[in-house]
Amino acid sequence: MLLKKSFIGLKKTKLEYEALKGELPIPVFISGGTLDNENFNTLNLEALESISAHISGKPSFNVFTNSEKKINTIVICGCESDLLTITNQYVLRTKANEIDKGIKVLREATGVDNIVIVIPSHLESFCSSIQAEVKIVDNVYPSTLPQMISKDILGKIVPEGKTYEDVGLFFLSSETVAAIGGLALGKVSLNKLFTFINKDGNKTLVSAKIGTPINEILEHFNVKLEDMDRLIFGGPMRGICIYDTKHSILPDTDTVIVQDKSNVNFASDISCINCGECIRICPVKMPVNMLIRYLAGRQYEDGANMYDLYCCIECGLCSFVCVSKIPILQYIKLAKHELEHARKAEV
Amino acid sequence: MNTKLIVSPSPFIHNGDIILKRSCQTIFALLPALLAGFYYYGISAVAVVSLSVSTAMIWELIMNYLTKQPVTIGDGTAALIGLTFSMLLPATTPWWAVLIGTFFAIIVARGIFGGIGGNPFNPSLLALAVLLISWPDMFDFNEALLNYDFIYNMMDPLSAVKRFGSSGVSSFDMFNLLIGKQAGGIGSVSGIFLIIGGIYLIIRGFIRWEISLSFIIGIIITSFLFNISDPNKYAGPIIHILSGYTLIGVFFLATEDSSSPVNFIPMIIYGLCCGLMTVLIRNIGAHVDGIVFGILLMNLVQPLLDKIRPKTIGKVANNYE
Ligand code: SF4
Ligand code: SF4
Repeated sequence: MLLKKSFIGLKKTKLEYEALKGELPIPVFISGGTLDNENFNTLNLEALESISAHISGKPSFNVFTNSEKKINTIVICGCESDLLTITNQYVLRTKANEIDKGIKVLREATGVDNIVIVIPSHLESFCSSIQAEVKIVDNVYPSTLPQMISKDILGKIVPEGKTYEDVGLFFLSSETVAAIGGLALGKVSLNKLFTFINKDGNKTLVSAKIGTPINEILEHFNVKLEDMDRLIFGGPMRGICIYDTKHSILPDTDTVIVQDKSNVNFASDISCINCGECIRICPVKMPVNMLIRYLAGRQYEDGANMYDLYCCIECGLCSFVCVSKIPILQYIKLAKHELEHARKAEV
Repeated sequence: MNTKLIVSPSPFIHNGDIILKRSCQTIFALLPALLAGFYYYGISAVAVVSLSVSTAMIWELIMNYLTKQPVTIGDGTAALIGLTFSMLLPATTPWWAVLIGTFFAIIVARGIFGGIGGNPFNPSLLALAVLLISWPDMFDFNEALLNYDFIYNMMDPLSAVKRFGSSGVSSFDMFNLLIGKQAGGIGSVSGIFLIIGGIYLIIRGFIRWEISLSFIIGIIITSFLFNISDPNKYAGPIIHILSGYTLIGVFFLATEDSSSPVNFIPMIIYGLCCGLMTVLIRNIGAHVDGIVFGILLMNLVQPLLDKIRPKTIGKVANNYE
């Protein structure tokens, strides 16, 4: 199961990422394909930016051209950004060639020499041909989130309210780099690879054209959606809910989860009982129990000033363990959103 | 046709620890000590406990209706408060005292502070303190349990110390104290079962081990200092740990969620000070048992203690110009 409790007495809930070891699964092909790359012979920043919407992951290269932020390291994530998914690992295992090519293109286009590829330890043997510094990341959530990688692996703590670009890091997934490499090798892929997780928890890799409506995929797998089911784009910790089956596969859809209504759990409006579970699990040591009291009372300003709202990296672990089932992450996002609004209104 | 899907914020999974589970596990951990209490004190103990649990739940229900809030007795916390409260009472407690006690525990100590999670004090202890101050005679365990026919030396060791100095407890066999052959509250006399229950909760992670451990260390240090200063007057650490409300206090009362701190250093300070206050009150205060007021006092400073917290990673001082 998803859950493993370990550590006598200290009750740490360890959430491990799915590891793609052993035999490779074969992706189910739904639609799409590849075109020959005729238009972009020189892959410079403008060219990459102009087609970024068609590159899986939809990277934005703006930060290299028009901003004062100085990027000194490009980090390629060969690890997953959420639980249950295996997309990035699959790409890393099957497309080392393209990734290597992509890295060369990136080096030339951006002028950044320092390129790091971050992978879980079981994939180390697949990276030997890749011309980049290989770093091993822990296989426990949330260590692959950009802020955690930059803190634990690169030793750069992202200050509150700042992004990792402010500390000179630029993140790309291995799939994005492989797509860029594919371009350089003369192929434009129209497809997005993603992990499809059925109601019974079965995982399948699916390759479908970007823009395919989700109901085509559901039809292919014979999934019957019923009222009160949940359809999730993204992983179980950080994904978003889809309310319409006409929604299409996006360039950054790594995972699609169909959750049966019997597995759907609801948040509650019980107040915080001060059990401290959230504090113990928070990777950045936020005073979540105090913060939630302020946020629930809509004291967003105070929450930000006194209880470090902007340090949160939005991993969702606090909501995951909350005994009162408070949707803490939702409160945090709402607070940031409201503060943003207020700031805009002031200007 | 349009399927109505659920749309809700992430995360979409939960580790399954909910309040009901916490309450049930705590009640489960209290059961051995409770059964031992039933064994020692018989049917009148059963009556006190049953009355306490049921009235606690009824008060909760009444509070829900009065405040027009959703009914919350389903989460088990009212039952838990009723249970811990009754386990502190002597088996001879009259019914009206139980009723008043649970009223104070549920309505005064918790309800008017906003229900679950809002209580600044441990509800059971607050209720007990009210009874203790209003009807002190009820808690003279030696008097209260006079009618029981015990085959062993049945005395409240703490009041023995208070009256006769540490020679008063020389007749207590440590083993008997451990298994509960002493006069005291229904569920608070059988040390060994309370320890088992407490350790179970610690292993399962339902209470914070830091509090229990530092509480015990606090008691040991303070009582040891008293003991070496005047061995004739003050009892040693073991008596302090095995007698009175100590063990139930250490594992089940001081660790109550909303009235105890959650950060590491505050938990240690809280535990140590609880131990210190307990022994101070026992040795030089007016009350026989210091646990009740020791913990209540520390409950009071808990919000201040919890201000000591680790620096959040990424926090920059004064970046709000
Ligand atoms: S989402 Fe919760 S656990 Fe994660 S960083 Fe933010 S406050 Fe901490
Ligand atoms: S986990 Fe939930 S109930 Fe427990 S302290 Fe954190 S916010 Fe409060």
